[in-house]
Amino acid sequence: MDDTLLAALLLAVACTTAAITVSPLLARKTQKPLTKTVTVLRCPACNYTEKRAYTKGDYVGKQDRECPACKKARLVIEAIYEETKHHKKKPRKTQTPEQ
Amino acid sequence: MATGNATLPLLPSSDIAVWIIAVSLLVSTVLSILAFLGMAQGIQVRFLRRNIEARLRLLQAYASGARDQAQKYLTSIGVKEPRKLLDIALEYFVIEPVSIEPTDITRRLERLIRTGEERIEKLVEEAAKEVDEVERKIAATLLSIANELNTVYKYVRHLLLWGVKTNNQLVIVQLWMQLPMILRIAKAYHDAAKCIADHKPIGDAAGPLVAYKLMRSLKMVEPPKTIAKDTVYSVHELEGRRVVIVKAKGPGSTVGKPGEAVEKLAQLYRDTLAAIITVDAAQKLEGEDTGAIAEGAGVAMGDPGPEKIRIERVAYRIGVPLYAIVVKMGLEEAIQTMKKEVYEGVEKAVEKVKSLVLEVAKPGQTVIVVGVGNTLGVAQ
Repeated sequence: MDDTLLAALLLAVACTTAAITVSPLLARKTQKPLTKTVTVLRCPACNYTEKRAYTKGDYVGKQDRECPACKKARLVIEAIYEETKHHKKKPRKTQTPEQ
Repeated sequence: MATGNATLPLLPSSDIAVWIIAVSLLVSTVLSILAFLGMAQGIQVRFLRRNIEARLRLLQAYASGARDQAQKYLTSIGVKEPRKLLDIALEYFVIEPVSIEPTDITRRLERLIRTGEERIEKLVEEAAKEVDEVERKIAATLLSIANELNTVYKYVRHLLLWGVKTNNQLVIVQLWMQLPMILRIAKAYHDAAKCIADHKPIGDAAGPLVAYKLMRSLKMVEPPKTIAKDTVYSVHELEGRRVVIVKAKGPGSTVGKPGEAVEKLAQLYRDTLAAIITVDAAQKLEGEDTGAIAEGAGVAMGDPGPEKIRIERVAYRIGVPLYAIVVKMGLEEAIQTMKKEVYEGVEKAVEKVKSLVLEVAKPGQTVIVVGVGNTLGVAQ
């Protein structure tokens, strides 16, 4: 084999190895989904429900303010949970089949 | 001297090419000889050591973060010398009972666990006398998280230093392989400390939340009463069946003593008892959906043994079946703020418990339902 071709081959192998080693370091990290903790309140008299942002001191079973719908009973905290909002994916120029 | 190449103009001349080949051969020969002499493993271990050291710094950050969180919380509830309390709590340990003589091992284990819990609770109580029980329970939980992370950090550091000191490559390689899983668990605990300090219900509260929802949806016969330490029960009715609901006393951070409570209640209602149903959060397998529910037999409870065995023993003694309903979730989801999917699973589990009660008990009979788990953020 020609010396020049062999040298080119060795350089190509070296470059490929370097690229494989470095590529994981340059990979884009996936974005964390946005999360929000919400408190769900329900009126025991008229079943009126309301959802608001969680505030410290909320707990399931706690009586909150008066029901704005029937004004007969106080709203009770029925649930506290975390909702997840995923980032919208940017449209790609070239579409790849979904895995 | 040859200049350039007619067919491949960007490539070097043949003289330089010969040099490249010669150097390549020399380097590969030297590396091969060194590999035979064990140099390859040495280099690999050096790389792994650097990698472990970097991850150890992350573990240290988690441990000190949990410590700072606990200190901040203790200060906020009026503890004057939080460092003094932290110094004891961070290094606190429980020695396992003797296992070569298994007689009464669960009772001995129970005594040791309770001694540990009561000691930390007592320290918090003495340091913050005017604070309510909910705050004290949360402080004790934050201290135990800080203790866990401190122990993990110190143990990983010990393994690394010991492996280096004794030049034990096997220890270092094993540690490097296990570290991703250790870090995942440590991060989950670190993140859990913030959720707990904010008083938010965690995924493990699925069981107590099912109990709460049953208490609110079934006709009440007797209001909640304390039956064991940090544990309450109330009596309800469902289409002629008596339903006794047990849960940890909320909204503080505690799992209560469900085993002791069920033992007492089973004796109290032994003549009419038809079944004992336990509801708990269970670790899902990868690929399973969060919030999925499943039914099975046995006691759904993640304790080290003492509470669970009490329920198994009393069920065996009286001769009643043990049913279990679980809400599935990942490890991180169990100790961080409850996810919407888990809450949806809780709603399904409530309906499942009701239908199971109607199936397994006839009118006039009694069923004990236990909502197992940490009741932080869930009252009764």
